Amino acid sequence: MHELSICQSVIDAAVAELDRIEKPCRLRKLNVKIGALRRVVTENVQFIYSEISKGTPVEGAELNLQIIPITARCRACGWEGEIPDIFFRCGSCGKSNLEVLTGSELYLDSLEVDQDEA
Amino acid sequence: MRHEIKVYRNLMGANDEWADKTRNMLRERGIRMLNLIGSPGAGKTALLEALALRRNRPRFAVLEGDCATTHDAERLHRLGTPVSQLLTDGGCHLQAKMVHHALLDLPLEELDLVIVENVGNLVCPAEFDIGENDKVAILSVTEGEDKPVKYPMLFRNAAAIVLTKIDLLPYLPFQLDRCVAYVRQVNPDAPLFQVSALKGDGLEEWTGWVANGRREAT
Repeated sequence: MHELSICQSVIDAAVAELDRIEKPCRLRKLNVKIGALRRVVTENVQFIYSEISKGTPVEGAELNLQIIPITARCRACGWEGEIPDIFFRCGSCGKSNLEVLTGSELYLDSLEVDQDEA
Repeated sequence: MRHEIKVYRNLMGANDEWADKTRNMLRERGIRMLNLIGSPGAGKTALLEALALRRNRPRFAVLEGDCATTHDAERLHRLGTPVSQLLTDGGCHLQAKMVHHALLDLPLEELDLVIVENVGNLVCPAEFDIGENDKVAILSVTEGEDKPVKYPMLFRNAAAIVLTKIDLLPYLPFQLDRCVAYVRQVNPDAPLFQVSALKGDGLEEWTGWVANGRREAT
């Protein structure tokens, strides 16, 4: 259940960022990017988030999870492209000598807030 | 009016800071740290017992991560290995901060090596940097040959892979060749040790790698 630790980090990070916003606002949405290699079960994250966000400043805000596909570069032939998570093979020459380019991400990308025009 | 505020905040931030702190502390003292990751019952503690019984063993201590009980720590304590128990109280992985504090309780000036036996689990421990130099993936032959591709994050990032309980191979439908091929699919380079802690096969090579750093497996 690394989903629980991830949810707690999302909430801690969002609360810290909200503290830095001076103008009064209402948090509507949290945009989180997660690489497919993290093997996060999004349904679990949503469920845990809805439970542990209760009573925090982010309660009620939508959690938007964007899964980033795994891409790699082949050290043997130079091919670059997307690979499925269980087959670490070059899409061109079939070798496993790959450098992973994307797919390990885990960050809070942005917050969407409503602010009154003053 | 809706505004989007870009923050780009790393969600592993706090854990990674503790991990870096640990790595720096150990580097200054010339201590290497290994993070052993495998399923419950894969034979992680048995591999450490073998190291404790080796003649030319490094001066090492063990941090035992478990959800509950001190059974594993007691097994190693009986062999004279300095060992400290970390109980996660149900938590599925060790985090860098708790490892850092546990290290401070060890006799670091007397050590060359610390081995962390992570909570039995192939998923979550692979995600959390605890400040180790190397991760070691432990897989027993009773778990099935496809685990390396089912849990690629662990097997891809492991500096060494240990296949345990090979004395059971005659009794199982486990196909060793397929397992090795799956390992190589996600990790072409790491040494792969085939051991039986019960019968002694492969223990010389495994404990030799632990004692001497990166020595190649057969």
